Amino acid sequence: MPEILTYEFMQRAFIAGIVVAITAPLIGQFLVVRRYALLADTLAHVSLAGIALGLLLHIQPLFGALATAVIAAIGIERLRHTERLSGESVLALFLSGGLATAVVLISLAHGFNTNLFSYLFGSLTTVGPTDLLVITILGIIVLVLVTLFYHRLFYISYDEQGAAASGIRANALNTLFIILAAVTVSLSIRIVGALLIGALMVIPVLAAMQWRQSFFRTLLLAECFALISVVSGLLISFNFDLATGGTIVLVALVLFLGSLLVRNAR
Amino acid sequence: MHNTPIIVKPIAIEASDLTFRYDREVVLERMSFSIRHGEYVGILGPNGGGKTTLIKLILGLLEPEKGSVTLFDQHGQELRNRASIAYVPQRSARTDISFPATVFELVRSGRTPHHHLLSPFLRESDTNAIRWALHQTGITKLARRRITTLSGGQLQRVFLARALAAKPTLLVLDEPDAGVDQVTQTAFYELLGELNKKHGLTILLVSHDVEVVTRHVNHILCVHKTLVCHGAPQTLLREHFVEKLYGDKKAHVEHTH
Repeated sequence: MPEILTYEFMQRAFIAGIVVAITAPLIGQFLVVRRYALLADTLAHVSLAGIALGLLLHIQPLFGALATAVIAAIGIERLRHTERLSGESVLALFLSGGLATAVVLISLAHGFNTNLFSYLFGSLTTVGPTDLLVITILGIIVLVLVTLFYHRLFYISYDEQGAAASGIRANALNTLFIILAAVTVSLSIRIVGALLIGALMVIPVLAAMQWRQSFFRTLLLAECFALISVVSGLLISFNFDLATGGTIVLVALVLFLGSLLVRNAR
Repeated sequence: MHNTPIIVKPIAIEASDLTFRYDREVVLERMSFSIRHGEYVGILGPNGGGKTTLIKLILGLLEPEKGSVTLFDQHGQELRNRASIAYVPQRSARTDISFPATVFELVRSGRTPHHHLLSPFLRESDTNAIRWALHQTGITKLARRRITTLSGGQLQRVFLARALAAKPTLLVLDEPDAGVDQVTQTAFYELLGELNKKHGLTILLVSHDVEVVTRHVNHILCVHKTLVCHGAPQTLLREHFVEKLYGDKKAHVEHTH
């Protein structure tokens, strides 16, 4: 066994990281093609409020994040559906609202600043056994549901009305999808941090899109890029004592730039 | 007319007293008509006249404020088996062309409404339907191409192929001719006419190209806030329906080019 995996916390970080790497582009690709990529960041900021609440009330922060993200996700979908506000402005509302709530909750209870830092930028050492269990179970649920609904999600992503006219329940599917996005965001926070989760969901997909493949192959490529980013990001950040989330996202960016260069060279 | 025996086909779509408002503004008012199985219907009217709203009401995508629509003898919004309906919305309603997908993936998605969640794999009937749809629309050779590399006319055929892959009994198209040149457009309408004749497909076609539509369809609905007139194209042309529908100015423009 490589030395790095003899540490129990590193084993947990690796397993959680792999789960996150598999689920993030799965949701991210549908977000990107629907021009809804900012949703990930919005839900991450809302999750932060849930984490602050969890720390304040001494509940598992992960559960706080999950609950607030899912509730906000349903609220976003409802507001978007009424069409009184544009999708973008709904996201702006929730993003700043989430952050404001988080900041106020943090100032209410002083003294958990160091802990909070790990939620903002991700950390290797903080993935506890309970976190790992929850992350793995939820990750598997997301994977199974997206696989089952893949063809329906594909259809509503490029033509929601055509799909609805043919009997696909587009509204219910949109709600399910946004809840899955909320779950994915919350469980990724431990590894990449709230401020960088959006990047992990979007950048591997953008890199994969440069290769001009079918939708399915683009998704597979994005999965590969995310896995490479997370695994090498974890190794590099461990060896050089760097911030985990930032390292992962930088690796993803390098892969994106490489893909862009290859595209232009062809 | 009275002497010729005509086999009257059953009614496919029945609208009665349809009224729809958007923010208190009347979009459509008191529309009643019926469309029979196997008809090729053109829906004509000025921009903002309520054509798209009308087909959304027919498809159950919008709920009428008053009145009702029955599709195949079932209430619009409660219709159970929608898999036999194929709808190609206006281009602006669909995701833009940078969508990363192949022609095959798009056409295949036409089969999705027929599928149960737990059996996502293609059966023989699916592959046959996809192959048939690609063949009918003449895009078999494009199957592996990415949709971003297609011309407007090719993309139009891809969306028609997706619709056909569902093996629909009712096909609804909203301005499929937008951004496509005249020659391509005529070929497209001829293809629709052939599908209508050969396969008895009921077609609803929204368009603003009066000339082309009157040449191809066998029934016209003129929509401007309400049902201005309807009937066979030859009859309507005799009654100068274009003037009625668009006003004299537009009619003048029609004649000059």
